[in-house]
This record gives sequence, C-alpha cells and structure tokens, in this order.
Amino acid sequence: MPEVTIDSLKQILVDNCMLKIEPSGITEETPLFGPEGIGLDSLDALQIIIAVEKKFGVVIGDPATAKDALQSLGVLRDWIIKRLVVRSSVIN
Amino acid sequence: MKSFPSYDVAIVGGGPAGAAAGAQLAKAGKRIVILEKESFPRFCVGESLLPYGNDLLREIGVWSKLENAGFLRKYGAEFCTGDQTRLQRFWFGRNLGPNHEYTYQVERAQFDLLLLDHAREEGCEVYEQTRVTSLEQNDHSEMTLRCSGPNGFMEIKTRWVIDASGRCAFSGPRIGLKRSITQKNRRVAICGHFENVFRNGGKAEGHITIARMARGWFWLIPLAGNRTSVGLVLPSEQAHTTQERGLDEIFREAVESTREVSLRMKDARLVMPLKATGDYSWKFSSFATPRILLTGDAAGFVDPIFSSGVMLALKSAIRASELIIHADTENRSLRMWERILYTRQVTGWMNQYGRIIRAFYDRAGFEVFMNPSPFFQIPGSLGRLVGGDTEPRFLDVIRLFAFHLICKVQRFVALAPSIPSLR
Repeated sequence: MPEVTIDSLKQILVDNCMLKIEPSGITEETPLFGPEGIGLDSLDALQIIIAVEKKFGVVIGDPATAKDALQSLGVLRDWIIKRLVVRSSVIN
Repeated sequence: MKSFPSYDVAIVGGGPAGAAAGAQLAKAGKRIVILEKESFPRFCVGESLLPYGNDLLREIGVWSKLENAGFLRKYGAEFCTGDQTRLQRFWFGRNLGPNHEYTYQVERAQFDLLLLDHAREEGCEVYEQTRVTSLEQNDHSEMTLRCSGPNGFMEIKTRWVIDASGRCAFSGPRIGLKRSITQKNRRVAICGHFENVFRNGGKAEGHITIARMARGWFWLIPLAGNRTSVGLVLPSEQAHTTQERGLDEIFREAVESTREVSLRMKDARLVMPLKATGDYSWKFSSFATPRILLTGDAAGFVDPIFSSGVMLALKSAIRASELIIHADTENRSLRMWERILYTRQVTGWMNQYGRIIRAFYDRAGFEVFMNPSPFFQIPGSLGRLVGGDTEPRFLDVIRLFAFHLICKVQRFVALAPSIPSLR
C-alpha cells in the first residue's frame, strides 16, 4: 500500500488532471475547486476519485461526500487515512 | 480578624478575565488585588483560542510569552457529521489575513497560570485559595470584601470591583441583577482529557474538530504533547433520562455510536475522571453598577461551540479596565450612559455568536453551514466570525444576514444538499 502523503496525492493530480498551475504551488490547504481553487472541473474530480480508489482501495461514495473530501489535499489525506485505519482495525 | 489596607481595584477570580484586567490596571499604576478561590495551576475546559484573541493577548503583553510556551498551533477549525459523510475544514489564513493565520490550543491549567503570573509581574497582589464571601457597599466610593483564605478571614477595602469569577457569577445575584436565558434549550457537557487520540496530519494537526450528531455534538481539541480534550454536549433531557447510568456509560455509548469519534478514539486512554457541567446560555440584565463591572462568564455564558469564551473574557476585561482608568482620571464612578454602553457593547459581542450558534443547532442551518454558497463571499464572512471577529464590517453583516435567510429557506427547500444522518 503506497503511503498517503501530500506528495503522493499531488502525483495523482499531476497524472490525472490538466493542471494550469505549478504543482509546487499547491499546499495541503489550497482549495482544489471553486472560485478560489486551482481551476479543476467535475471531470477532474471524477478522475481523482477513480485514481484514489485504485491506489488506496478507498471508495468515495455519494457526491456531497466526494465534494467535501476533495476540498483540499490535506482533507483528502486525512479522509483516506481515517478510512484505512478502520479497515486495519477490522483485519486485526 | 486581620484588616488589610485598601486597594484601587479588587478583582474576584484569577482566570483569563481577572488576570487581563489586573495586568492592564496595574500597568496604569493602580493598586490591584486578585482573589482566586482555587490554587493554580488547576484544570479548566475551554482550551481553544480564536485568532482575533491574539490582538488582545498582545495588548495585555503576554503574546510573546505564549509564543514560547510550547502550546500547539491552531490554524483553523473543522466541522463534520458524526457519521463521516460530510466535512468542512476552515483555515484562518484564507479568510483573516497574515496577522491572524493561527492561534493556540492551550491546556488551560498552564495558560491561566501564565496569564496570572503575568498579572503578578505587572504588580498585582494575588491571593490564591481565597474565597470572597461577601460584598458590602460602605458609601458611594468604597466597598468591603470579606474573604476566607488559607490564613483565615480577611477584609479588603476597595474603590472598584471587577467580577471575573466565571460561571460562579459572584456579584450578579448579590447586587440583585436578573438572569435571563438567551437560548432556550438546556444542554449538558461531559468532558475529559485523553491520550493517543488520532489527529489530522500536517498543519491541520492543531485544528479543533467539531462532530455534529442528530442530537448533540463532540469537540476534539488536540493539545501539546499527546493529549486531546474531548467533550460531548447533549440536550439535558437526554442526559437526565439516562442519569442512573452514570457519566462514563453515557459518554462511551455516544462515542461508540459516532463513527468519526470512535475511530479517532480507538486507542485513546482517559487520563483524568470525566467531568460534567451544565451548558446553557444566559446573561445578566446589566453588566455594570457605578463601581462594579462584570466580565467574561461572570456577565454571561455563550454556548462553547465556536470557542469564544476566552476571547470574550479578555475583551470585556480590557474594556472594563479602560472604563475604570478613565473614570479615575476624573475621580468619579461610572456614569449611567457608560454602564449602559458597556452592557450593550459586551452583549453585542456575545450576540454576534448567538444567531450563528442557533444556525449550528438547527438541522437546516447546519446543512447550509456545511455548504456555504461560494456566491456573495458568504464563506469569507463566516470564516471571519469563526475566527473571532466580533466587529464585522458592513458587508459582512449583509452576507451573514443572507446566510441566515438561506438557512430559513433551507427548512422548506433543500438549497444545500440535505444531510440524512441529522434528520
């Protein structure tokens, strides 16, 4: 399982989205969507959701939750980690 | 009975309000005594500060001490639903500008001690383990306070009294002020400090997490080291029907049925017995007499959901000390209009939170809060309020009004996506 870090998530953005800004300018708190965001659209969101599922095995369910989970890389990281914690405790 | 010399100002209570007022007044050359019933450091809840409170701490002169005290930096706040379907993370830096990018999560035992020591350094006399038992008006410019301390009884003469006694509300009932409930629903808080609670990563480590359930909510406030303050707020009728089960059981059941919290507390260990307090909002009809000023929680208590307690305490205490310093230059007591203005001003600061607190507890209001429309810059104005800006600009007032309007409509039409788990 790859480590869940800001950098590994940023790599997902780079691989799946048409970024209009330098990846180095994206921090854990940069909004990904909306007027203050980095200009991603709903298609990008879909791409990210699929990539996250493939890489970490975590499914982002309904649209409202997805919108919240993708508000920034920091939120996405903690969101994934929390779900992985649940899974590992089930296995133990 | 040992008699003590007289003071310019006697301050009842050595918490943040008392220490702030003491420091400001001592700096102005007044002779100050602070009477504190406990012995510091002592446990207290309310660990989360707000960025606009930083300015107040600078004004008192403790900010640099706080910066070096090793507390955990708080860059924002996070609101989520207990079942983990929704989450909003606020960053102070995005809405408040570089001067208010962060504040601190403070263990109150150390924070309050730091403030009280600062008041001592500025020249306040501080008596701990000293309980004020009575207050007597001798004539229009002198009062007598009777106290019992570790060395027996003592009597203090003073020209002014600042009531910073917190939720004990020392002076209100004694001077015949009426108490009014500002929020009709009574609530109970159960809280304690834990170790090994799961935290956010990166800069969000110091974020406060508020998890909202259909009935009630949790706070998780990470502190320096490995400690986290966790609290559960429930409607009091719910806590009452379950009283025979005891605090630990009510708390454990609520944790288990709240995914976000049970997950974060998977390996948590309680480091002190759980405590319970009543948690409803009220205030006195007036916060000032000609020679007595009520500050912080001693004037009124605001629901703790937006961490406004310490900030309101500091703000009212600083204002109260300014009024005393000014009146003293003219050698008089407070005029009627000064008392009315002080009460109005402090009430205004409290009320800023009143409406948004009601929105938080209202299901429809919370749905809008979790989905602030990107239009009209409402999120920015909400962010400033969450950051502790009690004097919003004109545009903020309009935007917050729009927010409350949207909340009303949301009750009937789902403008923001509804949150099923809260229905």
